[in-house]
Amino acid sequence: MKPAILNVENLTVHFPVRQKNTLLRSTMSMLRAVDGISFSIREGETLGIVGESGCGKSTLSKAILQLIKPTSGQVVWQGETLNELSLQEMDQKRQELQIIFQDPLSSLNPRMTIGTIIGEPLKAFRPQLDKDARTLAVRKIMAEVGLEPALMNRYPHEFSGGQCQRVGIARAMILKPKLVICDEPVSALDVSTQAQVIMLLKKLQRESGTAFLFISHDLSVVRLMCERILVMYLGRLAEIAERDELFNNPRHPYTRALLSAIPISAPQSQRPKRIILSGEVPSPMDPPAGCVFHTRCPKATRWCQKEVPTLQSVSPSHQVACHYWKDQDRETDGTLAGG
Amino acid sequence: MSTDSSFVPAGRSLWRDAADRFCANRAAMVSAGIILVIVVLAFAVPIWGPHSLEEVYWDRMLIAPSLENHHWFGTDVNGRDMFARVFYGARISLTIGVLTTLVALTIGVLYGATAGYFGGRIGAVMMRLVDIIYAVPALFLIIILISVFGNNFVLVFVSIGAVEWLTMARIVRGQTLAIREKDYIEAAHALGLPHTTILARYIIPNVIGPVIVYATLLIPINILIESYLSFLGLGVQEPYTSWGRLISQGTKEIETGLWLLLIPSVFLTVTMFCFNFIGDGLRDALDPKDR
Amino acid sequence: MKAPLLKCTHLCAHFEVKNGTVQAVDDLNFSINRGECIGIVGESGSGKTQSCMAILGLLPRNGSATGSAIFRGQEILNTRRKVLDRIRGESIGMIFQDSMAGLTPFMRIGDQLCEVLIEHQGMSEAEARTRVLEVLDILQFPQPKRRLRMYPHELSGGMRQRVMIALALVCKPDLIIADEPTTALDITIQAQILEFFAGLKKHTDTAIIMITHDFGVAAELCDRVIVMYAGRMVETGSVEDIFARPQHPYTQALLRATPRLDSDLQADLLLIPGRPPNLQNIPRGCSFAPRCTQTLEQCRLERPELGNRFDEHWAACFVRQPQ
Repeated sequence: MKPAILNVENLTVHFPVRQKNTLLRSTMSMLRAVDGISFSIREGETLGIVGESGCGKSTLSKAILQLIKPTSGQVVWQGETLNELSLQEMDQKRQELQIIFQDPLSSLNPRMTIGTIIGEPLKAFRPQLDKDARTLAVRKIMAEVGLEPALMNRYPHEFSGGQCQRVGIARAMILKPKLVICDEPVSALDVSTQAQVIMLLKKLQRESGTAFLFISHDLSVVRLMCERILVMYLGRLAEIAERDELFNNPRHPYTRALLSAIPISAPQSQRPKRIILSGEVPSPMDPPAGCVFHTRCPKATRWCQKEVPTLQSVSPSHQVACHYWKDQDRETDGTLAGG
Repeated sequence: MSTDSSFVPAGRSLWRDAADRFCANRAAMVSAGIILVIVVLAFAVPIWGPHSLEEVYWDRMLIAPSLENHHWFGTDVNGRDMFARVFYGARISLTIGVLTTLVALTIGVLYGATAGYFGGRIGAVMMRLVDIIYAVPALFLIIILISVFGNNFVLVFVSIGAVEWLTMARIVRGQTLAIREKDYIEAAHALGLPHTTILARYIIPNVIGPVIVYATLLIPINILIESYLSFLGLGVQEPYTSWGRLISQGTKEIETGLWLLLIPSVFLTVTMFCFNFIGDGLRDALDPKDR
Repeated sequence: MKAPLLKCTHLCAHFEVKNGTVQAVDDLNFSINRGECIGIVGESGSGKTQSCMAILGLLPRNGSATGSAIFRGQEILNTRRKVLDRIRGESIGMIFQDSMAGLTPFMRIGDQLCEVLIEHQGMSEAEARTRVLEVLDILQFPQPKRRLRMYPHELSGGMRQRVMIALALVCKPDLIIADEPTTALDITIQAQILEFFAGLKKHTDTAIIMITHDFGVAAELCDRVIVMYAGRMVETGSVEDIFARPQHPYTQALLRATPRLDSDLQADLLLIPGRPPNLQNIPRGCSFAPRCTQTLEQCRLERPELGNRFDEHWAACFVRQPQ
C-alpha cells in the first residue's frame, strides 16, 4: 500500500460572523463551515468529496491549501504540518499542491494570454528556466491536455468553457504536482464537454501518478473518477468508503438519499422508491444539536437529536457516522444498487 | 482527444477589442483628432511660429486679429502676439492637465488597489485617511499649499494632484473589492505569488478600465482648475502663460479687445468638449459587456 | 381527436447581431395536449430556451420569431403585447432557470405572488393571500406565513425556486414551461421538486414543457422527448422509445456521454468530437455532420428532414440505424 501523502486531522474552520439583530444590537455567531474532518490520501490515489451546497467542501479545499487559515486541526503534507509553516515555506510547498476551479473562465486572468497563464507556475517555481524553455514546456503540456500549442497567444475570452477548463488543468499540472484539488471541475460544463474533460482527467490520472482530491456534488461523475469517496454534510463527515462499497452498501441515511435522488437515465422500468428528504439544509451558522442530519433524516430518533455520532467502522476501509448504521436495511428504503 | 480549433485569428486582447470600438465612435475620433491638432500646434508654434510669446511690439498694441504681420490672433495690451501666447498657453494648460491627472492616477491606483486588496484593518485605516483629507474643501487646500510653498510650476500640479487622487483611490478600491474574490486571484494565491506581483499583474490591469475613463474626464477639469487659479493670480506666473491667465487678462479688456477673451475661451471650451467626448467614447469602448 | 393545447408549426427565431444573423431556432414543430409532459432536451446553444421565449414573446429586442404557435385555438406568436400579457399570467406559467433573476429583488415574495392574482384574476388582497398560501402548502413550503414577508435574497436557492414555481402556478395555468428548473439546485432538493412535478402531472390536467439538458430528468417526468441540436429538432418520440432505440447519432452520443450510476466503469464515456456549430454560419447539410461518426456523402450536402422511424418516433437523419 502506498504511503499517505496528505493527512487531514480533525480540521475545523469556523468563521465569526456579525449578525445585526436590531438597529443597535448585534451578535457574533460562528459559521461552522468545516467541523472536525479527518481523512488521508495516498500517493497517486483519487479521493472524492461529495456533498451539496453548504456542506463545506470548498472551504475544506481552501483550508487544506492554507488559503484559509483553519481554526483548529492539522493538515499534514508528507510529514510536515502545513499550518505551522511560515508563509515563505508554505509558498514553496505550493508547487506540489495545485487546484483546478469550477468556473473555467473566471479562473483565468482575462488580461493574460493562456500561454502566460499556463507558464505562471514555471515563472514562480523554476526561475532558472529562460523564456524559450518555458515556452517549450507550455507547448508540451498544452498538447497533453488537448489544446493546440499554436493557441498560446490567445486570450481566455476567445475560448469555450471546455477549452478554458483545459487551460486550468494545464496550469495545475505543469509542475507535476503531487496532489491536485479539483473543485467541481465539470459542473459548469455541458454534457458533451463534461465528458471530454472527465476523460482528460482520467487520462492524466493514469499517466501522471498525481493524487487527486475530486470535489463534486454529482455522484455519477465521482463514481467515474474516484477510488474512495467521502460524503460530507454540514461540515461533518457522514461516510467514507471505497467506491464500490459506497455504491453497493451505503450505510448513512444521507448517502442513501443522495444515491436515490439521482434522476435515472432510463425509463420507468427499474425505479426503486425514492427517498425524499424533508426540509432544507440547515444553516451552517446554527447547526442542529446531536447528529447534524437528524432534522431531515427519515430514521432519526431522540438519541440522534442528543448525541453526536462518532465515526464507526463498517469495515477497515469503510467508516460511517451514524448511530443506526447497523440497522440500515436494503429492502425497506429501496436504495439504488449500482453495478 | 479532440483538439479544438479556434475561430478567431491572432490573439485579440480585450484592449484591442476596446480600441476597435473606440475607433468606431465618430465623436470620439473627431475629438481625438482635434486634440491632436492642438497638441501639435502647441508644440510647433512656440518654436517655429512667426513671433515669440514675449516679444513686445510697441507699435502694435491691441491689434485685432488680422492677416498682416502674421498676427492671426491679434496682439494684447502690451503688444505681444496672441497667436504665440495662445499656443504657448496651450502647452502649459495641457501639460498641467495631463500631468496632474497622471499624478492623481498613479497615487490613486496604487493606494486604492492596495487598500482594497489587503482589506481588513489596513484597508480600513487607509480609507479613513482618504475620508479625512476628503473633508477639507479641495480648492481651499490647493490655495493654502500654493500660498505656503510659493508659486512654482511643479507645485501647481502636485497640489492639484494631491487632492484628486482621493476619488481615484475610492474608485479603484471599489473595483478591487469586486474582483478580489474571483477565482483567478485565488489561483494566483494558490501559486504562492507575492502580493506585489498579484497587485501589479492581476489586480491593477483588471481594475484600470473605469479609472482610465475617469482620468480622461479629469484632464479638462484640471485645466479648468488651473485657469481658476490663474484667474485668482495663483497660477503660472509671467512670462509663462496659460489659457486661464489669458482669459483673466482678457476680461479686463472686454470693451477694447474682445478677441483677447474670446480666443483663449474658445480654445479652452473646445478642448474640454473634446476630452469629454473622448472620455465617453472610452467608457463605451471599455464596457465589460464585450462577451 | 381533441385539438392540442399548444401547437407549434415551423417555429423559427433569429437574432440580429453586429455582423450578421444568428439562427437560434430553425423550423421547430411540436404539439402538446392537456395533461401531457414533454421534454425539450439539448445542450447550450441548442435553441431549447429560445424556442419557448419566442412562443411567449419574450425574445430580446434584436430577436424575432416566425411561424405559428396556436394556443387553445388562438394564434399567439407575435400577437399584441396586451394579449400576450394576459395569456402569460393566466394560462401559461413560465419558470426560469435563474430564480434570482426571475424574482423582483425589492418586493417581498408575498407581494409578488399576490400581485399576479390581483392583476390577472381581479382578486382582493385577502383572497389572493389565501390562494397563495394554498399553493405554497402544496409545494411543501415550510413556514409559509413567515416567509411571505421575506425578500428573494433572504431565501435559499431551493426556496426561491419553489417561489418561482408557485408564481407560475397561482393562476392555475393550462400549461407550464419550466426552463431547467432544477439545474442550479442541490440534488436532494431537485428530487423534492421533481417529485412535486410528478404529483402535479398525476393529479391535475396541467401540461408541462420541461426544458433540460439532463436526460435523467426527462426520463423521470416526460411522456415524450424532443431532442434539439443547433436550433433544429433532430429527434422526437416517447421517452421509452428514445432510450431504448435512439435513432439520431446525436441522441445516441448524448446518452452515452452522460455518466450513469450503472454504466460500465471500464468503458470510457463517449466523446463527441469537435464543438457545436457557430449559429451565425451553420454549415450546409446536416448541422451535426461535422461531428458525426456515421456520416454519408449526402449528410454534408442536404439537410435531413424528420422521417418517421417507428410509431410516433421521428428522427432527422439519413442513416438508418440497425434494428
